[in-house]
Amino acid sequence: MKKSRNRTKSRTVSYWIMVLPALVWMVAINIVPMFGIVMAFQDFNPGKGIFGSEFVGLENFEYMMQMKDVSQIFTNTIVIAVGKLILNVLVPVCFALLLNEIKNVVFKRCVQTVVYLPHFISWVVMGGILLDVFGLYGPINGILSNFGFEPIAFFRSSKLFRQLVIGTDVWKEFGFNAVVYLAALTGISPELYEAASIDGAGRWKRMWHITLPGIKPVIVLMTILALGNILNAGFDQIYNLYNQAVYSTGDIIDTWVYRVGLNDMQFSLATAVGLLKSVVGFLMISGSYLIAYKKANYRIF
Amino acid sequence: MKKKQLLAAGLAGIMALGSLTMTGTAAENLPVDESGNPSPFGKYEEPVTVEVIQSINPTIPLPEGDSATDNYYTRYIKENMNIDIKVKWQAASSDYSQKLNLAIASNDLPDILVVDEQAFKKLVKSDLIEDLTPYYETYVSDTVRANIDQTDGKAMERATVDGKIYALPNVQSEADSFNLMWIRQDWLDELNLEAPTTIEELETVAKAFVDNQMGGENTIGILGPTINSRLYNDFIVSANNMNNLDGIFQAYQSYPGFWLEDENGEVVYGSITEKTKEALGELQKLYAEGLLDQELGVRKDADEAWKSGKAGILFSPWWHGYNVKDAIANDSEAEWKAYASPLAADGQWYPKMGSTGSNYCVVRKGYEHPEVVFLLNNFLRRDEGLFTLETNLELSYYPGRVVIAPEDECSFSVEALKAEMAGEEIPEYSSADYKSLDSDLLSLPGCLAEPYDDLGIENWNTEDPNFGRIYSLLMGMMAVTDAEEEGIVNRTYSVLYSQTETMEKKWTNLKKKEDETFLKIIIGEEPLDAFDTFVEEWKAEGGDEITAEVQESVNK
Repeated sequence: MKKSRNRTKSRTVSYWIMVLPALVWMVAINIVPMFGIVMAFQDFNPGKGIFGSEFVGLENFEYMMQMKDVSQIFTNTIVIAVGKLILNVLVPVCFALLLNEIKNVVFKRCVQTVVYLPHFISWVVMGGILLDVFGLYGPINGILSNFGFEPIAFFRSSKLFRQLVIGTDVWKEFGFNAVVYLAALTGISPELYEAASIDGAGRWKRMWHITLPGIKPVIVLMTILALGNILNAGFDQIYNLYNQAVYSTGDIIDTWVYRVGLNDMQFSLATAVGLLKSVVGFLMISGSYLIAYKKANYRIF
Repeated sequence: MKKKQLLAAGLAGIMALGSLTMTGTAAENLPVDESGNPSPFGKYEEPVTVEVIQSINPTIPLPEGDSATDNYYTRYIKENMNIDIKVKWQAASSDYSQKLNLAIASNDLPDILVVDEQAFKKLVKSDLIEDLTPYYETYVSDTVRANIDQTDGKAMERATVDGKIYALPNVQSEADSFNLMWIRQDWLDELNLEAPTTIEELETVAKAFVDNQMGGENTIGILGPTINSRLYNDFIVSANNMNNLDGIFQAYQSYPGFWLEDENGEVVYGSITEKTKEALGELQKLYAEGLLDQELGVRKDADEAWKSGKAGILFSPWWHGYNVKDAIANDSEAEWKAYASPLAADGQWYPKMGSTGSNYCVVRKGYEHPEVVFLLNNFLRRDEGLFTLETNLELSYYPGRVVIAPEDECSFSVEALKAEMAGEEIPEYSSADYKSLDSDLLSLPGCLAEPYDDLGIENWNTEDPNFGRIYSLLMGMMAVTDAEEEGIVNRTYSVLYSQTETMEKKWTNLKKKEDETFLKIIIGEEPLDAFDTFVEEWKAEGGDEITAEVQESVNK
């Protein structure tokens, strides 16, 4: 009895040692900078640092609430982020299901490789390419003009900007996101399919009753992980694509914080908005976790 | 390999020396002249290390064998002042201010740095930079002082807070403010047209360019700025804006972005006046008719557009001529000429004039040798002309550089060049005042074919290292001096070139609203009447409050 307890203890110690570097890393990189949050309640002065700056209470938040802009950038952020969240699950799942039906292995591999290539191109480069492709004289307008449409400068239209941002992001990432689902698909036992086809189930029925339930846990997991990013509408992407004409629909929290904080040096105000974003994000992820736990019996902890 | 090792060893040695002096005899180690007295052109007895940051153009490579810490300027500085330059970081000019602001926020500054108006205010307020008052009198050279003083104290006022001098301010030549109309003269000639002088003529010419596809398919009549750049100068960044639309606003006596005083002495913001609405209406029309850049607002690179011969008309400062070479490299016929145009309805030209400058060279609090700011710029001011002749290395590599020039530098240079070209006597001048004029006069024969009576592009030698400058002067600046002789130049200044208290908080949003509304109106996404809504909202959301503040600062 005593011996086995000792063994458990020594095993725990070795686990702790293994996890220690990661813990130190997390504390140093993720926890320590959290103290910077106090800037949101200060009139931050770089000369005095976060320990010496004057506290102003909720003044930054009060000012933030007076600004019309804030509701606009929160709306933009949520609309864009939710759009991306939904489509970034739907499209890769559909794609994975379709690809799974293809029997020609060479063709399947080729398609898979080609569609996930865009994932590896950074938004700085991709932004430039997209501005050209959707430009007034770009190929998209070239095609549209064949059908008698007037050319449009897509990225300058505040009505189309959100759709384009969501669409291009989904296009860039769906190949890569599908990898997880494809892996999950290979985990489904072929026996199930065989049994079903003997029972007379067609392709659709098999997909509906075997494939989808088979990858459901992965879909739920991916969705919940994505919910943590609900307020990250994609700074890199939007910063490289937006312009003054689409501020009303395309200016998100991150780009706003960047302009106010780094261009205009209102460090405290930018921190306050960033903090609000984190708080909302935290509530969202807690809520979604709760829902996932209740409805799908899914739990991380 | 061996060379590299040697270099590394040398650098290490230099750094070691530098750090020795920093901890050691800093107090006594002053820049002295031969007689041992501290002097604006002195040399340190022991080497001094200065850590700097640089805003550079990454597309232009350094000469073979040179590096950021070992090039023409660092060698010159070492030899003349016994200063070793250490580079903390470099950034492309487009990223420089973001990187700098981050460094300010984290209080991680180099020994000396060049900052803009906004960062300067923040640094003073945060008590991060050294008071230079005790060093100014001893170390500023006579020429630099004279250039600063000629602005009627305006330059010094910019650098002074609560009676203390915190920076060496730049003093721009007035020339950088003028937004001239640059036009493809060869296209005009081909179409048998005259350069436009009014808005109506501008429309006609732009239409002719577009309709005749002078630059191939999708020719741009009037070019606008690059994506996310300013459409016009404002009171914060008041000069040196490429491919702007100020030229057209000016023709309506509209000055968006400037603080103006009306005839009753009341301050009004230029972007909310009726005249600005009128100008916007014209721009909207130009856009709708396809004469103004159809990609306005999302134009990826406006410079690329005119360099590749796609655009016919643009509005830029006199130094647009420095880049004309790139257009000629693509098309040897490309001839860019400048005019003070289009004129207002009364036949006058109303250029929007910038501040005396917007840059500041400052010293990190606690640095032992604040006087280096003056020393470096004294030498630069004295020998800049020499540099142009001896090296192609861009001046942005010169550490701590702020431009200090006599206000009339460019117009005087044009006068002198004109006299030289006509074979007349050159007006007397001192080389110390007009630092580049010696080299300008020297390089004239190399740039332009004699007898200097035809400024057509075929007579120019674009290979000459000084071509850009001479062309800019004789094309760009000459347009201003000619208009001046005609007596049609009416300069308009902003009553304020810095931010007030409330602006620090509220300006970002007001400016965002302004940028968005103006662009949307021009491209026709909003009707012209959206302007009235903008004015109302602008006033209600802090504009009125700020206007009152500006009024107060003007009345003082």
